[in-house]
Amino acid sequence: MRKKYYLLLTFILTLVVQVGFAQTKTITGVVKEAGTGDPLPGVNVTVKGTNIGASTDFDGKYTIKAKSGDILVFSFLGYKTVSKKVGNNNVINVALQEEKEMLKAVTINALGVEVKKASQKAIAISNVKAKTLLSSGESDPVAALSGKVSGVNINLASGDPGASTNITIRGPKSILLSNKPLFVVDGIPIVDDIYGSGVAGVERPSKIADIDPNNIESIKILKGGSAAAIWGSKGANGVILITTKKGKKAKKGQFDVTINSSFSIDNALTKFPLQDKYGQGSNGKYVPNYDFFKESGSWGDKIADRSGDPDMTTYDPNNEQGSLYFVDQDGKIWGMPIMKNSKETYNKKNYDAVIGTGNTLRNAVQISTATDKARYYLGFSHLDQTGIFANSYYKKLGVNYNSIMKPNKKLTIKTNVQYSNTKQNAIQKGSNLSGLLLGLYRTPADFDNSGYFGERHEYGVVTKYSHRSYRQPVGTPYKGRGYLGQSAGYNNPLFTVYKQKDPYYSNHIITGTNFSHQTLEWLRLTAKAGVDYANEKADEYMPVNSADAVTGYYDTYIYSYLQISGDLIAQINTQINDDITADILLGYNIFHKEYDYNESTYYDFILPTDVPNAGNAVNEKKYPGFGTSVRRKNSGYGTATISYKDLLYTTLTGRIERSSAYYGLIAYPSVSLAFDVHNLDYFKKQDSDLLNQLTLRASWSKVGNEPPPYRLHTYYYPASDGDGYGSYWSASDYGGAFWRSIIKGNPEIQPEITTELEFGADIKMFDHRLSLNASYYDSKSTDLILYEKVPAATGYLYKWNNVAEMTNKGYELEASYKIINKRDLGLTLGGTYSKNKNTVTKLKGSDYIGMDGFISTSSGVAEGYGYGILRSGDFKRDANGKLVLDANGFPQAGEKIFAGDPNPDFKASVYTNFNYKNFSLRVLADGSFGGQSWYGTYGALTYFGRTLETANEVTVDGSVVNSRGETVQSLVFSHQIAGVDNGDGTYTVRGNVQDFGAGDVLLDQTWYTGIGGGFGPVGTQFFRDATWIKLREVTAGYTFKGKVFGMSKIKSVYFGVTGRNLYLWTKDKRWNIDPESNLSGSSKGRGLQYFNHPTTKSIIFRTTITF
Amino acid sequence: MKTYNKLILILAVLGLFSSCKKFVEGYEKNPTGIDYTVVDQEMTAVMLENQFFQKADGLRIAMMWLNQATGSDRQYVTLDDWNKASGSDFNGPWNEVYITMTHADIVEKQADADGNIILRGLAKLYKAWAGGEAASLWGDVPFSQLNQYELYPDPAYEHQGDVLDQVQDLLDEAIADLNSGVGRITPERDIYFEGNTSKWVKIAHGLKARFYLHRHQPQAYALALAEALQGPSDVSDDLYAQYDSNDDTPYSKWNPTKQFLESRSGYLDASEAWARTKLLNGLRNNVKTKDYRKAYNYAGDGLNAASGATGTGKFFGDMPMVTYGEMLLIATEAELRQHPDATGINNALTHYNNYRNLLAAGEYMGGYINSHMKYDSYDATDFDAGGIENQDNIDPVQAFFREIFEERYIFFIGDYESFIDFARSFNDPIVPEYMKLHYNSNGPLYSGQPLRFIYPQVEKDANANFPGMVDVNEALPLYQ
Repeated sequence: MRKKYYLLLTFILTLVVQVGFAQTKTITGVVKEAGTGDPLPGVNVTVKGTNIGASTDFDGKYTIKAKSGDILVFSFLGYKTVSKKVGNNNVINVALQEEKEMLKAVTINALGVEVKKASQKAIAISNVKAKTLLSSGESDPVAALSGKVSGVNINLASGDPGASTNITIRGPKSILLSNKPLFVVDGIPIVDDIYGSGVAGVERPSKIADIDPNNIESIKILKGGSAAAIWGSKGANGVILITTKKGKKAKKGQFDVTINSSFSIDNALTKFPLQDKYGQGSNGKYVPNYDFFKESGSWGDKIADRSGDPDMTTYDPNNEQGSLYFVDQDGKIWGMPIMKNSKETYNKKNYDAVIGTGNTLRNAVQISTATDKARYYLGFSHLDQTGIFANSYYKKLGVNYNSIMKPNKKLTIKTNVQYSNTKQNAIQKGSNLSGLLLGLYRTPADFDNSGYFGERHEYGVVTKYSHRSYRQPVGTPYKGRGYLGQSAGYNNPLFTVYKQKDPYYSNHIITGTNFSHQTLEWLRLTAKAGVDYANEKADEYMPVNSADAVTGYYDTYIYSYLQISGDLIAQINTQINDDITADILLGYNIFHKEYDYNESTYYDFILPTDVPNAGNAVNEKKYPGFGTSVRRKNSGYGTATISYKDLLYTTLTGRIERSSAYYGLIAYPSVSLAFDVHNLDYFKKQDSDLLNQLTLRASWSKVGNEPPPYRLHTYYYPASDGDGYGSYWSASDYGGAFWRSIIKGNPEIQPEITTELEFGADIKMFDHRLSLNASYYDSKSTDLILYEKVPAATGYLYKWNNVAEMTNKGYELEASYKIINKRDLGLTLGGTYSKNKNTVTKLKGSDYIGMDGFISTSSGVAEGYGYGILRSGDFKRDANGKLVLDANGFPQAGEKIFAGDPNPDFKASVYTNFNYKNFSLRVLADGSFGGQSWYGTYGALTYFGRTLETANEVTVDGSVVNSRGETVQSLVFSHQIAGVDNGDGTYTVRGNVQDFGAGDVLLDQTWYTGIGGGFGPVGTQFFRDATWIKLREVTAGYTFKGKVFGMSKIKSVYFGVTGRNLYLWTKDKRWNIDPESNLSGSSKGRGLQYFNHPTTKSIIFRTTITF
Repeated sequence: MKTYNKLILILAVLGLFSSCKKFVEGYEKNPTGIDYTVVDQEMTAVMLENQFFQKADGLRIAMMWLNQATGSDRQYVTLDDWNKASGSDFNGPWNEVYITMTHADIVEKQADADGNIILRGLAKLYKAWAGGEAASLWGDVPFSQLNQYELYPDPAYEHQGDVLDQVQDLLDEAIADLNSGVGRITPERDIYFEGNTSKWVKIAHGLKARFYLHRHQPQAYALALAEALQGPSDVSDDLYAQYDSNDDTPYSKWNPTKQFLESRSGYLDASEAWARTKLLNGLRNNVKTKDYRKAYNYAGDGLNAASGATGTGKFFGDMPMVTYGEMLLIATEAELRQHPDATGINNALTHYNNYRNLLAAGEYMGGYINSHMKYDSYDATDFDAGGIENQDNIDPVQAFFREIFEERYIFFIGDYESFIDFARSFNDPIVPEYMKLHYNSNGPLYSGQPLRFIYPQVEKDANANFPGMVDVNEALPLYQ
């Protein structure tokens, strides 16, 4: 590593080899103001490193004597200083830019407090501006960061409207606790907990998505531990600082108004291809049966070989009383097919009925104004999204108010209020009999899903509220609980979207105030307080006859959280001597977080209805619940930055915390060092535009991840137990009883600790054209909290304890180069690169802990492997890894192995920004390289005979056997397979031929529904290389400036078109879904694909009008 | 001066911080968290966990391995073969039996502190019961270091025999406590006997009889007999696991096997079960016996978990745990063990015919009374060579032992006793092979014999004193 830095340094030094001496000459020129072009009188012009100086006259003109190679420095109060090198030309004209409120010297730190830039020198920060957020077209600010920042991993779980996005910075730091960064909005830490995402269920919005990108000025990503150290136990996962828009200076009494509107057309990015050659059935035949579930698989007859007549069904129009049939929602009659004759297939029709084009309409109005002593901003935003899944939507209304007041010279008061109201209807997903894609993709090609709901007529007996699905072609019979076969099997997807409901409703308010007083020249006192409050309701309604809840299920979950944070801060500046300055910040914080919920669950409905109604369950089938959790913390913190000249900056931070979640005081220290190499005299003298900045950084930090509340004591619970196989008991059925928890509380529990060592460099070269930020980090997370297993005879099964360890090491790089940098023409090329290697180095008491997934394949942690390692059953292999074949020449099931690492080797992105006059073009592509995913969807659909692969036809010799040892000849002869005898000893049958090592064998239904399919014990055959590249964003825009359409009030109008996720490339061509999507959403499991909802691609039209 | 000011400021901030311990104090406890319980409530929980341990996941494995049931889908296909079972399959049963013991221990200590001696006795009974079952299924297990996390974070394993000795002592203490007349078992909290201590005393004796029988040692049989005669002496003394699998009843109250069959449809049936296809399929019948218990245990090719006009399936409703029937079977075996001769046969027949009379009256078959049913009394000649229970002309004592073990195999379908019978008798030369355990209609099943429960993976992971995995085919210490 060190070697590389030397190389880099040498390289830079080589570049700055300089020119020789030259003779003195007279230079003249004009200095103007950059924005207006007005001449600037009184500007100081000096020759750098000498006493020679001059100033501009009334017309901005100056004259000075200098040598070729000298540097002229133009400085003027309130304007940015400009340096120009004297070359061959004797005329040097300069435009000076107004320095806006000393922005150059001040920045915000992790707390959201304004500090001197010096204190942030040693920190790895990525900045994302409002413009790039908006042009992404994402309504979730986190999703909008995709591909734009190095060291950050963002996963868009699915294309559900409002679905949450997962974000981790520099790898996961915890196994059990959150790996999400801390979000700080205008200095207020906000809650970003998400509920209800697993292998099934629905995707809910994250709280951070409540902040509309329209209202965001910029996002700063503080990646390293040293950057976040001031947050102590909240800093382990990094910090994302969101700065909202503030009022702009407008001409007195005037308003600055911006209207931002966009409309997007959204479609599924991927579509799983399904076979339409073979119909429903088994062993090459359609099997009519009346009472039980119909055949789940598509292993039936060849559709092309049918007569083409209408199907023969159980419906006889002349004898309805004696018929078995279904009358659907539109009055259409469906009989149970007895014989399949029709050649019609419905793959497209079934798909289009539930997945189509969605759209999003977004409008935002921003008004700002200012007086001498105050600036105000008011933003309204509205989003109305219709999802690509029928009946899914996401609506968001936001109001954002900001003010900055300066009643006197010393006092500044900032106020911020953000309110949002969110509504969503989500669609059941994943491993879920009532999920959308599970039923859709499994539906055989020859089954028409369009009739989904109505009446079942069974020889004169009518069952209302019946659900028609491919396994119940004349609707579900309802005959009371315990009657096998009454379920729809898998939901008709139309029933999923139109009859099940999953509404979500949220009111969210974030407010903050900040009083800052420059009490003394060297002392600034600040008091700030923030409140984040949200009240939400997330319901799940499955009416009677939903496949997953045959007798009906309703869950209503109302919860609120409140987070209050208050700080007192003192900032002290001291000039110790001419060379050394010290900036000290001392603070004290109190923190209170409260979470309350009320949940009611209802089972076994009295009346079959779509209307959720609490009275629709008998009292014994209503289960209410409530709970509260409060966490309090207070902390003292401080940071001291000692600057030596403009060369060396040392920053020490420390935080001491006391929390209700553990006993004792914990200290979090960090130290960082920055060295501005470019300010060395040697480089200053060069006066070349080659090297503008070279800052070398090094830091060490210790940050934490706080334990969840209430792990200190052992509690008593209503007694119950179960065996994980559906058998369980509850004492409440026997008069009720409380007993001691099987999990032992641990008064010694402590926060998880992450220590990180980081090196980095920030480089700007070639007149600021090249910008390069590079970091290397090596972090170790220790004392990770787990339920440690303890021997049952101790009286407990688990104990909360700090037992596991994990490391993250990686590089990250952000670079950009302005290839063309002219006033009217610009072209920038840039990119990011991140590589993180995560290893679980210690896991006490377990070989493996599963976090998400299934018995066959799951994602979890194991010592020596990366976080989220995929564990799956493999084929039986000998010592050399060779397949052990059975007597028929087929592989057999073997042991479970660690089959794949879902973590990518690296992630990278490239972008280019082009502008010509008022036209701009932006292209961004990003990708994830390496890593593996388990493609469970493919495995399952193989089992059902729905993948293209399973519908192949092969011509083979009659002696070839299938996995049961049956010859093709005998299979065709006994009509156990779809196929024909070619009369020459060969047979053309459905299936594939493969040689596992003992000669050709036939992979047919017996193989695919056994070991060769997704429900068999061998999951490894469905692992795929997860490498993907996405054309994330293409934005073209045009800005009309000045009078537009003859309207003098309009300052500018922008028109833009963005293509979002236009193209997806996968390394493994067999992917038909987005490898970036993840079954368990933003929860812990990684690399799992099982009927995930597709992600979306969009075309977005946007206009911005500024008045 | 300036520096001085700054110092004061720093100290002020630090002072502010340290004074604010109060801000977090009191918030470390869950406001909805409960940190104690009422001891008689916890006793109910102990009863329920004990019956769950005996009738849920562990039982299903025992039934598959004894060929009383068949694993037929997903993981249960693998689990059907004891050689393919692993420690993680036994995490559940192990945790359940130790949770039972632990909470019995908590109740015992609290009742002791409260001075409720009778309740203390009941808690001891339960601790002994669960401990005895653990030792009989796994062999060497932790017992005396139970529920003392601070002292024994890795409880030591004790010899199977030592555990059973402690169990007998504890049951003696339990009997003394239950007879003390001091305190009471809250009737509403006793799901079996509504606080009737005399019935519990009988159960304690019944358990003593059972665990003496498990010793499988000559000197234990006299003790087993004596205790069996003080155990439940009428079907009204029987202890049945309490379930209600009716549709209107909460699912959590259903029979665990019924719950399993419902939620894991197809996993478990009796399609290949020797008990169903052979033994209960007429094999027991002779001129004195017409056995109709197949219908009680099985329905179609599955386990009977239904309730109908003709009676209640074994896996639908309450299930026997400690019964008068078992006492008579213990007495029968104990008599014959003590006197493996004509005297013994005569003495044993008294108990055995009493047992058969119960069957004839329709007991232990869920009300499936059939007019053709017949359980006439046997006499000694029936076990003589050529007698109706000795058609293959073996030694009469052996023939009687065969009868006892065949009968126990059927009586204890749905109970660990039949599994323990197999474990203790497999190497016993006096017991003729009575179960075609490793065969079914399709020929040989799996290799070896399931002679024990496998130690759970959790112990391997968590207990520093874990003695190491023992193969399922290896006999328990007492039966080697």
